[in-house]
Amino acid sequence: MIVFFIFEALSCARPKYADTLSSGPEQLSEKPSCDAQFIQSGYCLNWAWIKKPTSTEAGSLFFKVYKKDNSEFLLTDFTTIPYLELWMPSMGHGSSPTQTSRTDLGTYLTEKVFFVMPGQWEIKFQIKENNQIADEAVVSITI
Amino acid sequence: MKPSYQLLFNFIITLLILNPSKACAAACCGGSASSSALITGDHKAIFNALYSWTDVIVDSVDGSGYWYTSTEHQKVQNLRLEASHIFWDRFQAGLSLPIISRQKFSETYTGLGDIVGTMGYEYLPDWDYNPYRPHGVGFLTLTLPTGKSKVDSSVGGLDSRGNGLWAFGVGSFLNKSWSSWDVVQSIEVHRSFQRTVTSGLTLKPGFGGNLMLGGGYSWGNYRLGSGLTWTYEDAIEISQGISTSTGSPERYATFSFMLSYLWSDAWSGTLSYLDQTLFGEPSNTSLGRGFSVQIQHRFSR
Repeated sequence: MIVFFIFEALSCARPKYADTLSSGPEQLSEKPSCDAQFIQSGYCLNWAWIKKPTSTEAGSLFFKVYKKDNSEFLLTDFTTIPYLELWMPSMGHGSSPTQTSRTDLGTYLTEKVFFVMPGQWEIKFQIKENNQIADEAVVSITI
Repeated sequence: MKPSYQLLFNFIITLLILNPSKACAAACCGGSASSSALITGDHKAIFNALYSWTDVIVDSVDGSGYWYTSTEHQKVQNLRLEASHIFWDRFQAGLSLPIISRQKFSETYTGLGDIVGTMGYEYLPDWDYNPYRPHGVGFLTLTLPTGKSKVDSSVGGLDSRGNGLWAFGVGSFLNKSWSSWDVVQSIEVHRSFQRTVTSGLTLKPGFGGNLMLGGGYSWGNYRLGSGLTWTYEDAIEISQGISTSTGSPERYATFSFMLSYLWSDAWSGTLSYLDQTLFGEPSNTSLGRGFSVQIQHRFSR
């Protein structure tokens, strides 16, 4: 019993509480850049919050997709509208579905961005073909 | 052995197996595999009814050990019905049937969790009440993916009720008592198998396990006990098309403090406090606190 209680005492948890303010850009950089890059097409992506989500309310964001031609960034569309998947890699689950619409050439608005719990998340910008993910760009954020 | 000591002995070894931390798996979503109740006393069959309530006070712990909390906590209720029966000499078979309910943001999801079947064998009987040799039961477990997996959830795991994976496990339970004191140790290792879930995601899991150490003191018809269960699960790789998430290993420790009462040789009850925030170095998990109430009925040979 004594050994058991010593063992218990030695393994006490040491919590480090994290700051849970949402990270991520609040406005797009003036010059196009590559915040993230699509794996297959090599297209670049810029994104920023329109409204940051809270623990009880969904947020929204917009993003732009560029084709890099030499040193020039040209706005470009995919053949389908990208889907935005919210994924918590440490816990192995997602969040509620989001809704994305095209607003202009290579420019998209995503609404219903809600994170079910605080922690480290990934925003996955995905192109789906035949119910499979054909292309993807990923950014990591802390909520 | 005098009848009163026999009663006390049965009391200890049957209450020791009421490991309430089994009812408090990874608090947020899913759950770890475990065995059903084991018969370790001189009984033909046992039946357990266990109810637990958990408040998920730490929403997530990342791989660097940072704890994330919010004001809105998920509440998890678990009703677990377990039965085991001796079917031949020292062999036994058992079944565990969990009903899990999760509630957050005024939404509640309830359903069947992962069913676990167990086959046990008493490999170290204690017929001569040896003062040093422990009593031991080995067991095999088969977990059925009857609970919804958290990766299949469209509400962030709130409607998940298990790992949703086939798993095969092997384990051992040892206990020893001296006078009014007792100690118990249990170890279980399992291997989960690859599966493609309804959303089209392919899950590639690995190994996992539970190690439990505990002890207690008995007086009259009461027993005061404490236990600590360490749980580990390999990372689960999740893929679809070109997208792959390698995942991260999950670990946490569940502390339990319990008071048990023996009504008769056939009936007993246990009230437990459970806490996952006190011990270990949790990683890639959520943590909860709660309580459980368990009633056990034993059938004599």
